[in-house]
Order: sequence, then structure tokens, then C-alpha cells
Amino acid sequence: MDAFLKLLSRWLAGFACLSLLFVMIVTFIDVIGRYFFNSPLTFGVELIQLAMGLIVLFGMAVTTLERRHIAVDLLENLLPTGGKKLLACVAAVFCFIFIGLIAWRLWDRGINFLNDGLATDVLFLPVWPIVLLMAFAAAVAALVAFKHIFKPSVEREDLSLIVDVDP
Amino acid sequence: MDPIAVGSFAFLALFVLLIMTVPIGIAMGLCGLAGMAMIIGLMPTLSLFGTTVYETTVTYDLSVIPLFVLMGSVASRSGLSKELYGAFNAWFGAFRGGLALATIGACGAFAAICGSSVATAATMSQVALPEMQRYNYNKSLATGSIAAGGIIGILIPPSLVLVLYGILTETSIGDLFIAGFLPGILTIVGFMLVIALLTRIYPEMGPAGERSSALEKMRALGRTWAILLLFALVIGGIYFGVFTPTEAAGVGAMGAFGISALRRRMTFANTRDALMETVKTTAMIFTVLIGALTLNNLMVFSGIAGALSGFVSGLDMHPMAVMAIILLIYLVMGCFLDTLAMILLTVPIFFPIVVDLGFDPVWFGVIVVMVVELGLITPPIGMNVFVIKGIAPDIKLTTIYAGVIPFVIAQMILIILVFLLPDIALWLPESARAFR
Repeated sequence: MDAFLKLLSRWLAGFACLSLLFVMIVTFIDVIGRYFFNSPLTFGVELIQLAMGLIVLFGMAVTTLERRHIAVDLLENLLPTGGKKLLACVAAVFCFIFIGLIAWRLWDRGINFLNDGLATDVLFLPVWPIVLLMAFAAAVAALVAFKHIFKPSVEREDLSLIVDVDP
Repeated sequence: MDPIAVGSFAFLALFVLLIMTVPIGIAMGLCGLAGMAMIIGLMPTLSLFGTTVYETTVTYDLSVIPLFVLMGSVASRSGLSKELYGAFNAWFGAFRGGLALATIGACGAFAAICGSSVATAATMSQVALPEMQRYNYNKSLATGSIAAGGIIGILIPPSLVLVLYGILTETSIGDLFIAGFLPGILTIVGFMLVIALLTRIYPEMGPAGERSSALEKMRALGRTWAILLLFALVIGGIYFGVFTPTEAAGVGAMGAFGISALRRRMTFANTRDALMETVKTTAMIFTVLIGALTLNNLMVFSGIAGALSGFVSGLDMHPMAVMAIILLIYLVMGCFLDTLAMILLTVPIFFPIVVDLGFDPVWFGVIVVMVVELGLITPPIGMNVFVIKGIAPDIKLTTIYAGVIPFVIAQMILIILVFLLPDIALWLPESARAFR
């Protein structure tokens, strides 16, 4: 189960990366089109909107998994490992509740959009599949937090140091 | 229960959760939700929360966040830092403390394409520290100048912290960027003066390096053309009103990829790492943002925001005195809290008060950022200092903190200058209005 959640989180993050590339390219084409050819992408804004939702929620599971959410770690640094574990466990409970709420509210919204058939302005793309996908990704993140309740990890992913010297 | 009492309890609970290391965004969000549920009922609260989540994530304007993060993330993997350092070294190397001067200059230039202070410190220390150690620089001066150089990153646009301030307060991000530019340049000049002064008094701290010929200087400068071009395009575009900040961020990220490709650094691993890094940072920022906006709802609904500004204006204090107290609070909090978290946590509280007193929102943004960035280099928790310690484990923390002191003093003087002369920040955005 652990390994599966991990894998799923990574996969979701991978899709978030693609979504990010997509946002960058669409923004770029939109700008080039507008200022150089006087023809902006009329549907650029709505594509970027939907892709933004995917970036944020699809990245949530991995961010939770690696404990990348910023926290005030003053007290944590003063405690022995047992105390750290207890705090991590408490924190995970709250993470689970909050991210779970996000998943639930998004799901609710997605179902509403499905029923009233909300579509984007220009391309008439249905919005609900994206919102339901976002809800699913949030649910995965909530599961990751749930797992942390019973298996609190005290390790915090270190600031990944960027290596900008020649390989 | 009285809404103001509910709001106060929510803040108390928030404080407890934060101490218990509950992630900041999650603590803010849950306290906001609990408070709102007590005031307007559970179902309306949940429905409002759904709107907050949906409209914060599925939105066009906020794509400025991942795009600027991506630009910095790609740029910091493209080997630019070495070249920037080389260029500044060619120009400053022959002076006393030249390598430290070059560090400050290169940090400033690197910040022009990277919105993160810690990333700037991390990247530059890998290039500048070995060089300064080779020339037997005083360890405090060497590490202090890198840590201090990193904080220039917050002011020189693009700046992630200013973007978040702009979103939270509905202040123009373009104006904020342009307003940060001049104070950023002044910081660079101020820090260089500190180094010049130190090495004049204690010449052995930073021996002069080799002199470069005029030709070498021009060549070294020429190699940095891509960065200059990208900065000019992104920030010039915002200044002249050609791009919105979101468009500028898209162009900037694409440009960073272009530079990386030109330099043959756009390997699969590099690209994947940069994208992954950006996605994680984005999810982290948006969690805090959703939490902050949820708490913000409670601030408004409970009437706490109004009550606070009413209380402050009832004190009948001089606005400048109030502002000085607010900045002092930031200064103290900066020693303990993360910059981003602090901005998102406190700006919703202080901003209404500040605007009520008649201060300019753009100016407040710039000066708050100047104050909180000090927290990155002051004990006990100075993120930049920790990063340098991580790269050079054999150097003592106290050595780095000692090296940082003169820069902290310089930064304080600058903050007082911008505090007394708001035009330092406001003149450029004022002049930009002519083009829009």
C-alpha cells in the first residue's frame, strides 16, 4: 500500500510537470501571437485555468509525502525523537482533515458541474472531468497524510540543493 | 458567541497549532474554517471553502507563481552562476575584497532571473565560496557576503514574495516589481560599500586578486548577454506595460529554457528536476495561499480586521509610530519564521491598518519585504546561513553569523532610508504609469 501510494504520488506529480510545461508554452504562444501577429490565442486563458488546477492538486500528494509544506519547526528542534514523532502524528491528523476537506469540496463541485454542464467560454470544454481529477488527486494526498498519522516520518526533505556547477 | 470572540479564539488556536508544527497553510485554513462555521454555520462555510479552493487553483492570473518559480528553477541549473561570477570578478577582482564584491554583484544579477533568496544563496555559494577560500579570504567575510548577497534576491524582480503580497492585498504585481528595483540596487551598492570599508580597515580579510585587461572585462561582460536580455525583456516588458506579470513570467520561463538549451544544459535530468521542484514549490505555496485566504474570510466576517484598525486609530498615535511598531514586530518575527509564511500570515492582519493610516500599499510591500528578508540571515534561524553551512560544513555557524553582522547594519540603514523617503520605492512605478 505504501509503495503504491508513493508511486501514485510520483505519477501524479509527473502529470503536474507536463501540465506546467503546457501552461508555459500556451502563455508563450499567446504572448507571441498577441504582440507580433496581432492574433492572441482566444482559448489560451481557459486552457491555462484548467491546467493550473491540475498543477496545484496533482503536486499535492508528493508535497505531502515529502513533508514539503512549510511549518514552524521551532519546538520540533528542541524535542527528542519520540516527541518529534508525536508532533508529526498530530500534524498529520490536521493535514488529513484539511486536504480531505479540499478533496470533498472539489468532488462536490465537480458533480455540480457535471449536472449543470458547465463548459469553458470559447472551446466549450466540459469543466467537470478536470475538477473530478483534481478531487481525486487531493484524495490521494489526503491518503498520504492519513498514512503519516500511523507512520509519522520525522525526516523533513532537506532543501534540495541545486547543483549549478559543471557535472 | 460574539464574532469577535470567535475570531480571537481562532487566532489563539492557530498559534497553538503552529507551535505544534502543523503546516502553516493547514493550520490557517482549519482555524479559519472552524471560526467561520461558528459564525455563519457549517454548510455555508463548506460551500464558501469550495469556492475559495476552486477559484484559487483554477485561475489564470495565479499562473504567475509557477511560471516565475520555473524560470528561477531552470536558470539556477543552467550554469549561469559561474559566468556571472566570472564577469563581476573581471571588473571587481583587482580591488581589495574583490571576490566578495563580485559575489554581491553576481548575487544581484542572479536574482534578476531567480525569485528565490535561498536558491540564490545556495547557487552562488557553490561558485563563490571555493574561489574565496582559494584566495585565503577571511571565512566570516566570505560566507557573510554570500548569505547577505542572497537576500538581494527578494527585492530585485522577479520576486516571489512580492507576487504573494500582491495577490493577497490586490496590489499591482507589476508596480511592486518595479518598486523593488531601486531599493534592490541600493542594497547592492550598500553591501559593496560594507565590503570596501571592511577591507580598507582590515586589508588581510580580503586580498586583492589579479587585474583583468579591458578586453577581458568586455569579454566577460559579453558572456552574460543572455541574462541581461532576459531581464530586460521580462522587467522592461512589465515597466513599459507591454506584458502583464503573468505574460512576463511565461516569456521568462521560456527564455530560461532557451538559455539553458543554448548552453547545452537542458538535459532530461535537469529539465525533470526543474519541473519537479517547481511543482512541489507550487503545491506548497498554494496550500498556504488557500489557508491564508480562508483565514482572511474569517478576519473579515468576524469583524476582527475592522476592530483592529479601529483600535489602532483609536490609539491616536502618529502613523509613523504605528508603522515603526509594525516593522519592529516583523523584525522580531523574522528571526523565527519563514519569509513566505510570515508574509502570508501577517499581511492580512496589518494591511488594513496600514492602508487605513494612509500609507501607500506598494511602499508597505517593499519595506515589509526588506524587513523580513533580514530574518533570512539573522540568528537563531537564518535560512541563508543554514544553506551555506550545508554546503561548507567545516565552517562554524557563529563564523557565518559574525560575517553577516555588518550587512545587517547596512540593511537596517537602508530600511530607515526607504522608511523616511518612500520615493525611493515609489518613484519608478510612478514614472512607469506614463507608458500605460
